[in-house]
Amino acid sequence: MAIMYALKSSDNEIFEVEQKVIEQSETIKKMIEDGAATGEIPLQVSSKTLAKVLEWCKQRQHKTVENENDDNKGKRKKERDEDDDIKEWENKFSDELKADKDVLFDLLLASNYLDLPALLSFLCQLVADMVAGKMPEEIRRMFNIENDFTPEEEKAITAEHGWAFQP
Amino acid sequence: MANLPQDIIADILSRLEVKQLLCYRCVSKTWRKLIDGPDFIKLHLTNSISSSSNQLLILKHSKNLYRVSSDSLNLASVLDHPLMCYNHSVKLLGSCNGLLCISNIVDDIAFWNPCTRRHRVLPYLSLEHKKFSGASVYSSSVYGFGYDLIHDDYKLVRITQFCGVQNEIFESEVKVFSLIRNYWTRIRDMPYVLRCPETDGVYACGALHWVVRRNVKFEECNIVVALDLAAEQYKEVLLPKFDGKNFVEVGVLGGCLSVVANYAKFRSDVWVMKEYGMEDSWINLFSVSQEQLLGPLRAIRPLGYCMGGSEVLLTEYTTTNPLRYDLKKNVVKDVRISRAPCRYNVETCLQSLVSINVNRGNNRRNQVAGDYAKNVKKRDDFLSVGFKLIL
Repeated sequence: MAIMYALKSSDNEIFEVEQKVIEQSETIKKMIEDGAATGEIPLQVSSKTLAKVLEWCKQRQHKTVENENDDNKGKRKKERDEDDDIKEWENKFSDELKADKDVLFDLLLASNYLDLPALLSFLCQLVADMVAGKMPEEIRRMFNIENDFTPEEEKAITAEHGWAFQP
Repeated sequence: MANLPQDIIADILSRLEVKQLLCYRCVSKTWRKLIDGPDFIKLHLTNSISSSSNQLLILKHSKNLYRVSSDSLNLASVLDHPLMCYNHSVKLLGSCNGLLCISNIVDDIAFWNPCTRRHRVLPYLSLEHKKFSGASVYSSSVYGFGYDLIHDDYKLVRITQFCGVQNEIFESEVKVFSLIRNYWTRIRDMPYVLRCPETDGVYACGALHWVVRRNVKFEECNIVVALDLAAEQYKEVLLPKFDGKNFVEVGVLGGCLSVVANYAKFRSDVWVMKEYGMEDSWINLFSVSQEQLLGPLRAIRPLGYCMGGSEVLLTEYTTTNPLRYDLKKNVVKDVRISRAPCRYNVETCLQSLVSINVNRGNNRRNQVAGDYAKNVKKRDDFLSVGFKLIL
C-alpha cells in the first residue's frame, strides 16, 4: 500500500499524492524527513499550477517505475517506443504551456520553490525556445519589464553591437 | 503576471546564442548588468560546453576565415577578422572558450572573440635567444593558447626551438603572454624536443599538450607533455597501454584530452581521458580502420563533437579537409559544406561572451592579478623544486 500525502494549495484545494511521486520535490522531501509533514502540507502554489506540477511528477514517476521493472530482453525496442511516448507527452505539455504564458511563468516559479531541477530545466529551455528570434521590445512585453533606459542611453547601447540587430 | 527572479532569467538566457544576448543588453539596466557580468558569462560558457551546442567551426583558407555551425555543417559564411593580412595567409594559433588566437605574416598576434567581435592585439615579442645564431642551426616556433583555471586568465605560449643541423645541439626558449599581466615572460625551457615543429599545442583541462621526444634522436616518439598554465610547469601525460608500435597524435574531445594511436595505414584508435590526470580513466572511444576510408588512412586527431554530439570531427595535419565519424553507425563520412573553400584547415570555436578586456567592471580579475604578482616569487621557488623532480 503506497503512502499518501495531502498537499494543500494556496487556494485551499487538497491533492492526495503518493509519497514516491511527491518526493521528487527536494523541498517536500525535506519537509517529510524533518517530520514537518503531518496532516496536510501547505504550499504557496495555486491549485491550477499545482495540478500541472503533479502532472509532470506523475509522468516522470511512471517512467522510472517502468524502467525498474524491465528486464534486458526487448528493452531497446521498448525504450525506443517509450522515448517516442515521452516526446509526444512533452510536446503536448509544452504546447499547453506556450498557449498560456501566465501558467508557464507560475509553473517556473513553482518548480523553483519546490526544487524540481528537471522541470525547471525543461521549462527554462521552453522559454528560451520561445524567446529565440524576438526583438528587445517583445522581450520586455513577454517578461513584463520596464525599459529604464533613456532613449539616448538605449541608442548608445544598441550602437555598441549594431550588427547584432541585423538579421 | 508574475515576474521571474534573476536566477531563473539567467538560466533561460544562458541557453541563447551570443548574438541574441548582445541585442538583449538594451532590454533594461538589470538585464545589461546580468549579461555583462562574469558569473553569467561563465554560466553561458559552461552550458555551451556541457551541451556540445553553440559551437562553430572556423575554416581557414589563405587570408580568409569562414564560420559554419557545427550542429548543421551546412553553410559557410565569411568571417571578417581584425588583422591586416596584406594578401598573405592568416594563422590560427589556437582556440579556447570562444576566444581565437590569430596572427599574420608580420607576427602581429591578437586574441579575438569572433562572436562579440572584440579583439586585442598583443605586445610585440622578439626572439631573445642569440646563442645559436650560426649557419648550422635552425629555429622554429609553435604556439599554444589556453585558459589558466586558477587565475581566471588566458595565456599564449610560444616555444622556439633551436636545433643543430648536424650535431645534436638543442635549446628551447619558452615565453608566456598572460592577459592579466599584459606582458610576455620567459619561463623555464622545455626539456623535450617537439616531434612535429609546426604543430600548435592542444588545450584541455587547464594545460597545453604537445607530442615530444626526449632528445633529438628519432627514438621514443610517443611522449605527450602537458604545460600546466597555472603553475607554468611541464609534466608527462600517462598514456593508455597501447598494443604494438604506433604513432601518437593528441587532440581534444568534449573538453577531455584525447590521444590517437595511429597504426600506420591500418587502423587508428581514438582514446579519451575521462578524468584529467587519471591514468585509469582512458577509454578507447572508437577506431577507424583503412577499410572505412576511400583514400589512405593518415595520422588523424579529433577536433571535437559535431551534429549535436552524435558525430566526431576528425582532422589530419596535412591540408586535407576533415572527416566525420558517426558514433551510432560507426561509419566515416565526408564533410560537405556549401560555400566553403575547396581546401581548408579547420578549428572549433565555442560561441561565448568571454571578454578579452580585463578591466571591464571585473574587479575579481584585478584582485586575482594582484595576488598573482604577490605569489610569483613563491611559485618560482616551488617551480624549480618541482622541475628538478621531473627531470
